[in-house]
Amino acid sequence: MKKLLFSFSIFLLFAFGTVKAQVGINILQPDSNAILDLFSDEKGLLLPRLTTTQMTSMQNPTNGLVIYNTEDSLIYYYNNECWLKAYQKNCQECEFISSVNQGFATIDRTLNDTAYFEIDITKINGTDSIATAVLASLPQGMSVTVENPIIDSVGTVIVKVYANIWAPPGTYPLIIQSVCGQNVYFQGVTVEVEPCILVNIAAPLQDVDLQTDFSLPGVGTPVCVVLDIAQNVEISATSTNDYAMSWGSLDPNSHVGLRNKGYIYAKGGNGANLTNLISNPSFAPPGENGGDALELTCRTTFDLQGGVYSGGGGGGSVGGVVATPSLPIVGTLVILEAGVTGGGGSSGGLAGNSPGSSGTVIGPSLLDLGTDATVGPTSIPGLGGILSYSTSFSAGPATVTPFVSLNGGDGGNFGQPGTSGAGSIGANVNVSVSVPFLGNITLLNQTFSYTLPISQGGAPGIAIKTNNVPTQDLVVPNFLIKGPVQP
Amino acid sequence: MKKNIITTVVLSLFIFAKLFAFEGIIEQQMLVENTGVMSKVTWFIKGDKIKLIIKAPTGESVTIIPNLNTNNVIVFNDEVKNEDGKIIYAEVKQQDISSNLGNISVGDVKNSKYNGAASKTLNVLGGKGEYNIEYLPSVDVPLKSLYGLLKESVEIQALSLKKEVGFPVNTTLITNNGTEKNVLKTLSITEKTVSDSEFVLSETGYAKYK
Repeated sequence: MKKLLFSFSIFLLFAFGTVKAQVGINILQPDSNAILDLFSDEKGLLLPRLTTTQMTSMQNPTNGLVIYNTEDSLIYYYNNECWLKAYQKNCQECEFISSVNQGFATIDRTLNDTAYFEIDITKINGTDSIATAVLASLPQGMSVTVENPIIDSVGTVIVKVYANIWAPPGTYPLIIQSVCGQNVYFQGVTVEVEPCILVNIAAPLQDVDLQTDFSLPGVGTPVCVVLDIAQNVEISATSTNDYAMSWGSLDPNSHVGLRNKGYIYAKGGNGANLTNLISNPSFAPPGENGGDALELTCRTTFDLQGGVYSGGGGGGSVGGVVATPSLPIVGTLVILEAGVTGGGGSSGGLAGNSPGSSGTVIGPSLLDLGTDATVGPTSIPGLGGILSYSTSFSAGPATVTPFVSLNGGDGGNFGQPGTSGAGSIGANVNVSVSVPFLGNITLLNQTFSYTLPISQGGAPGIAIKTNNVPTQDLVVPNFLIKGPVQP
Repeated sequence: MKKNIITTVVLSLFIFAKLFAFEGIIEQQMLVENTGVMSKVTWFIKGDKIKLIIKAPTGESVTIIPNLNTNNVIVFNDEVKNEDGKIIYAEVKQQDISSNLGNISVGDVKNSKYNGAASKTLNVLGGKGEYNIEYLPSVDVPLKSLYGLLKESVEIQALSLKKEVGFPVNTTLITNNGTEKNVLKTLSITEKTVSDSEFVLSETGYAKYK
């Protein structure tokens, strides 16, 4: 019986072994193209599991040998040349590792305008270099640059994302693409641009303090502010001691973006006043300096489409008297006094005034006041007074032939100094008195002539006082800026 | 003998008169024509030394000191001082003085009485009209020497032209339109010793205008 069973088994083996070379496990009819067909709905194929060292230590691996690498959890195959990962085609194929230091960055536009991403790249295989680029759709005001984009072996690529103050706030995705040969690696990052405080000025204002007038945070809290001055809107100063506009007590680390489509202009200096000419015959007061237009106290980016004008200086005044020395009987005679005042500087500078006649003049008190400057961004500066007088006259015991020529200084236009006042004054004076019993005696017959001290015109104010803060897009010289730009 | 005695007496009287020329203070009031104001005039007289102070009701005054040796006149206002506090005076030459009086015509002299004393009255035409100038011959003041200096005084000009001796005490003016007004009257004549210092300007108090 045993002999019979053994013989039957051998028969079966030869019968099936020589007629069909396929193996099916858990499947009755293996695929006709498969030499081994495995079927299961609850189990898998378990390959040999090797470490990298075990894999590479294998002696003469056969072409097509397949293992599972326990270190990187990848299936490797041997192509008769090298061990390749399942997705690799050949031993020269480029392979690299890339990692970015952060996936998210914020730009606040006060302390920083730029977000940085560092991509560390290490090439593992191949001879090609790794090139990195950034794919992004960014709005106007934002840009991206890639530093060190080509890595030959090991290196760091730096991606810089910049947002200026005008960029719209929002969250912006970027794709960092690294390519080596036919291998491409994508990494996604996100940049958030924080919003700035928007300040819109659509009506005229004076003596603006941005921080206090618009209730902005002060020192200790840096802020980003976008200031829009609407078209033709006027920001002006009420006096030469006030700025038309100042950022005020914003934190020094704040950032202001000034988009000016209107006019920021300072007060013009007043023309010099005449003093009491009798008591101060040689005093030549200068015209008043013009005011300053704009003061910066933190970083500022400019988009100038309108004017920034400093106040023009006031014109100089000049005046004098003709007086005799102390004469017997009559004493000192103030024969005449004459003065002209300077014109006002743009905008709104007033002409110099006069205290009026000293009251002790026996002859004429001659005065010509300058004119005020007009008000506004198209201000016309005031003109200095002009006096020319040569009409002979008698006053008390004196017979006088005067010669007076005085020119007050004109006010300066925006950003310009006032002009000087100058002139001369003199007269031929004959003093005769009639004394009872005695008769007529001549006490004096003399010509007096004085070239008066020049009265300087006032200096212009500062158009933009920077206080040495950083500025951006401030182009100087600039026809929209009238007056100096200085710390 | 008798002739010699008469000559001696006349000569003595002459010398006596010279020795006793007027010394004292005469106060007058005069009408200042161009102002219409009655000003007070005070004469300080010591022989040939003369000073007169003309003071207006406002308090302003002018002092005139003729220098008969140099024919100059010192004139000043004691309120006008220089920076050192000294009164500034002018020394005016005779030729630099002019007058508005013009030519005058001197008429006859008539005897008259002035406050009981013998006086004379001189009629003068010119200036502002007709003047009747009453003067005291007994008050011997060398007015003739003042002829070239006090050119505006019709009294001094008239008495000098007439070669009359005396001091004018009262003058009446009849203007061309018939108005009569008293332009000079005497308030007092006081014979007294007058100090020489009245006619001297000290260097500490006065400075000459140059």
